[in-house]
Amino acid sequence: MFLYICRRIVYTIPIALAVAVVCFSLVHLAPGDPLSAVIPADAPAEVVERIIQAYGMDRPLPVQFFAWLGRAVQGDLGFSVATGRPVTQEIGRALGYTFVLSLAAAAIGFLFGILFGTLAAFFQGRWSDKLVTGIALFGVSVPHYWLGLLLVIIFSVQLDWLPSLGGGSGSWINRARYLVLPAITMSFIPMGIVTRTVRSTVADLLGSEFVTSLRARGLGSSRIANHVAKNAAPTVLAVMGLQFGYLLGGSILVETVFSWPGTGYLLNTAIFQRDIPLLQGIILTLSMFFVALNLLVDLLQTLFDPRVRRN
Amino acid sequence: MDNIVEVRDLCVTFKTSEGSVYAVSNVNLDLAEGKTLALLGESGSGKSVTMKSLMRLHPPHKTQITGSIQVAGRDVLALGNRELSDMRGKDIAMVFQEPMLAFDPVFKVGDQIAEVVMRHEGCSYEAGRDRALEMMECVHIPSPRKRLDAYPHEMSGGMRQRAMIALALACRPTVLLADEPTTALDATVQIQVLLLLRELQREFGMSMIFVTHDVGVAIEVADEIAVMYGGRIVEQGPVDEVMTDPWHPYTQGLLGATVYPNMDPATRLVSIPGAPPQLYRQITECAFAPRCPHATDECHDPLPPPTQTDQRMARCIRLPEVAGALPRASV
Ligand SMILES: Nc1ncnc2c1ncn2[C@@H]1O[C@H](COP(=O)(O)OP(=O)(O)O)[C@@H](O)[C@H]1O
Ligand SMILES: [Mg+2]
Repeated sequence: MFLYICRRIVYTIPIALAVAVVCFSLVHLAPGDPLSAVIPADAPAEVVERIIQAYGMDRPLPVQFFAWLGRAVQGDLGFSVATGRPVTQEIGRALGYTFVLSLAAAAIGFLFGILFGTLAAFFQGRWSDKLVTGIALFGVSVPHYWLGLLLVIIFSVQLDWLPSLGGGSGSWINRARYLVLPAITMSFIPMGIVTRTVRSTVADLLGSEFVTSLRARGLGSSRIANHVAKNAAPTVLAVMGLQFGYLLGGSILVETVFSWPGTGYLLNTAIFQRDIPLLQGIILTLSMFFVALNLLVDLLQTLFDPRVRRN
Repeated sequence: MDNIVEVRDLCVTFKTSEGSVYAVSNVNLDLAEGKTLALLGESGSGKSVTMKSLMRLHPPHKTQITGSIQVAGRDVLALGNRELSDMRGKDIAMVFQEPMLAFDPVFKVGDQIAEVVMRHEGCSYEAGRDRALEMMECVHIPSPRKRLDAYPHEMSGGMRQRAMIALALACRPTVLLADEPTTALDATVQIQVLLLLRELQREFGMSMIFVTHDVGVAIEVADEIAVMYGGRIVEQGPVDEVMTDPWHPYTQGLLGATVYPNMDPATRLVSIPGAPPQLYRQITECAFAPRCPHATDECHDPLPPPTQTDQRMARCIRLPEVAGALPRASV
């Protein structure tokens, strides 16, 4: 078990390295000179030369890469061109906002997903199943920036119940009010996907021989539910983990619609302002985060499922 | 005679998207206390469906069950859900064909046994585990204390089936349903498990219905035998009489197609040509007629009531002419 965990962690090192290489090359692959954003077009050649040296861009790419990586590992991602603040500080603030939004969206999405999925599995083929499956399909397929706009129109413009722009400030309650609409918007996709996963997993289990065998032992529905839940957990947890990961990755569209100051919004800003260090920093952070997430989901699954544990 | 299980005119129909499946029709079964009844038949003949009906394990809204089922003095089809689950696992228990599929894969075997004991005897977890250990010893699982904490996939096929038997017997049921308990096992292990079941049946004084498609196994374990074909019982009686003097051509065919104890080494095995019937319509004529070597035109007419004596029954329009056609087994 311990060995398995170690091996699994070691396996992620090459993946993380590859991700870093891609992040770094992104800047050099993108059309246009990465420095054109920093250097005024009419700067004298001598100044340009000095800036190039300052950024270390005159050195061969591999050297640049390792220098960049070395600094990144120590938590130095350079400075934002637009604001002049350290990239890590910008990202840190945005991460906080995205994290809060993801947490709220996941709580809503997972709760309803599990509820709906279980309901649908128990009433397979009947109207409640069809209704729930329909909701799930809607949740997955509706464009969520559109849904966001719709919610804004109804709850902010028409009813004037909730604010729709920004991250809020001041009291805890006031901040929470700003969170409601974007969180609901973001919860639809995980809700739909978790509903579908729970429905198919639980339905499979309910039709399986071992549930028949549990009933043949005289166990009541609560005991059987316990068995079914423990069997469904690895699959459902894996899906929820990944969904939470996607949420944490932030959504450019939804965060922009609500001007929610998270990573998606920041990424959007960085792209439009051609803020290369910031862009690089965000992409690196988000991809490292996904690598770590995959590792975590894997390890959790192992912990829950004795069959995986053996191999 | 006291019958612990009495099934009368049992019909089981499944509603599926392709129409109704008439899986079991007009089945009568009697099991006397302490005896073993073998339910013999090819796969798809409705043996498992019959067994599951005895515990009412079919999905309720897709299944139509008519007739009557008495188990240990209870009218199974009239029981409420609570009484039904009180009965399952306590008065009547089942050993499944594939123990790998019948155990919950993510619970320890010992805990699964303990769970059943706790459910029916209201005892503590510790007492349940003690019983589990006792049962594991009872079915001769080596180093039983260690195996309590094993997961089903950590056991070999034979050991898993022993554990399944331990689970089924944990609450001392009066009736044991064994649904092809040895079919999924290697030949040598099959015999061990068979002998174990027979030994435990005597030790616990249980009555048992043993489902099999293997004539040799039926002869080995049973007192009575019921031969099933196309969802119906085609022949029934004491195993020694049925096997030495099979009446129904299907029983004769089964005997001719299998190796069984004390058979004449010169006998050639002859398989029954053709395949079992589809059950998408209610079959009122003889379902075996299309494969039967003795079939005549009258065999495609609706079947008359079965031929019956004190002990035996067979459902063939051409009796008694075709009875006594070889082969026979000596028991
Ligand atoms: N839940 C079900 N729904 C529809 N058909 C079923 C169901 N269970 C069993 N059957 C059908 O009933 C017939 C008898 O099956 P079964 O009793 O399992 O045969 P066996 O004698 O091999 O145990 C088969 O044709 C099978 O397809
Ligand atoms: Mg079967």
